[in-house]
Amino acid sequence: MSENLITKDDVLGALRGARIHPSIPDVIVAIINITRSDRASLTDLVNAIEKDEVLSKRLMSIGNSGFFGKERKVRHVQEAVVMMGWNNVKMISLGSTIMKVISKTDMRLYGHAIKTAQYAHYIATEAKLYKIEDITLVGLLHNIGSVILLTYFTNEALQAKQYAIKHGVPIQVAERAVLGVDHAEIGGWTVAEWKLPDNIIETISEHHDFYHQSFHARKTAAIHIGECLALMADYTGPAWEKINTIHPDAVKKLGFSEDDFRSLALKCLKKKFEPIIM
Amino acid sequence: MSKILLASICEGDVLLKDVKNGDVALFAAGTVVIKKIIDIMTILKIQEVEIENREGSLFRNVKELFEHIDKRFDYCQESELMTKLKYVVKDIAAQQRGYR
Repeated sequence: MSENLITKDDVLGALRGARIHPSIPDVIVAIINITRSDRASLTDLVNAIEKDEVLSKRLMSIGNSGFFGKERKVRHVQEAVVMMGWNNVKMISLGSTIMKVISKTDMRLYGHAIKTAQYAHYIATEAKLYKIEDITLVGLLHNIGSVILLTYFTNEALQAKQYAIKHGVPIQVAERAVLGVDHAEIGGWTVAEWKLPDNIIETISEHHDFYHQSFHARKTAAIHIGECLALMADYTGPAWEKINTIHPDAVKKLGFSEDDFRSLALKCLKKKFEPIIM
Repeated sequence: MSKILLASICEGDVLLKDVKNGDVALFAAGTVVIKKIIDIMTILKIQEVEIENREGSLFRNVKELFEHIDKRFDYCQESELMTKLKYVVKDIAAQQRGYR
């Protein structure tokens, strides 16, 4: 095993370069910088968003979609920002932009992110978790570490893929063996660098290594299970792509018995979901 | 499986069959394609290669489908829950593919 082929400094160095990602537009960089700043105001954020017509329309349409459970019509970006909150605006902006980046580079990763988001939201709803409006967004972003790897560390990412094929292990196991770190941890560093809330950082970092005593264990359990179900649903995927074991503690943490969970998984895998507005 | 022109191959594709130069195997099936491999194949004027289907595997019958699902689940076969879920997936897959 070669340790630390990719370090946190390498990842942060790439993220702090001229652009977060070659395909991410300036407006997103501006939003991240504004939301990271202690001195920025709501007006700064609204002004930055309004410079991008597509993003403004997208936020308004999400604001009016019922996604946040409000009946009053949203007519201005400022109303959408106030309704959704600082962090949700940042995540929706990032989520929608990054999903576009992913769709251009890797359609399977894109489909997997969508399915994970849908399944995790369904599981969280059935488990009656509260404050689940950000579960869908976390589901979409959960593999941001893979995007960072494929973008900035392509050769290392392909070495890990080769290891996974040769040894018959899931990709995160291969990444740890080859790179000394996996995409989940890299994703955690990334969203921490973007100053997303702690629960998002923890959920993304631990989505493969569920730990029942973590602070946000129930939310992490929903993403962990959603991710595993998404891999299962994609049964035509390559044979080398190994499905991860659902941690029994994650099932327990959400209050399901094994039998209940099995019938829930069946319903979830058969369900036809509404498309995600992004 | 899909046979594609070398010009269409991408980094990250996985070779489905050995790539040979005459009788000599250059790259084994299961190799992840990197830029250096594409360069070597270009120099050797290799025209076509067979790679894993990017859109998902194709199956001729239910046996092939189930074998494929078994392979995807083989890392978690020691988990009783995952074994039960594997049968759920097989049921759904067989129905969706019109085998049931």
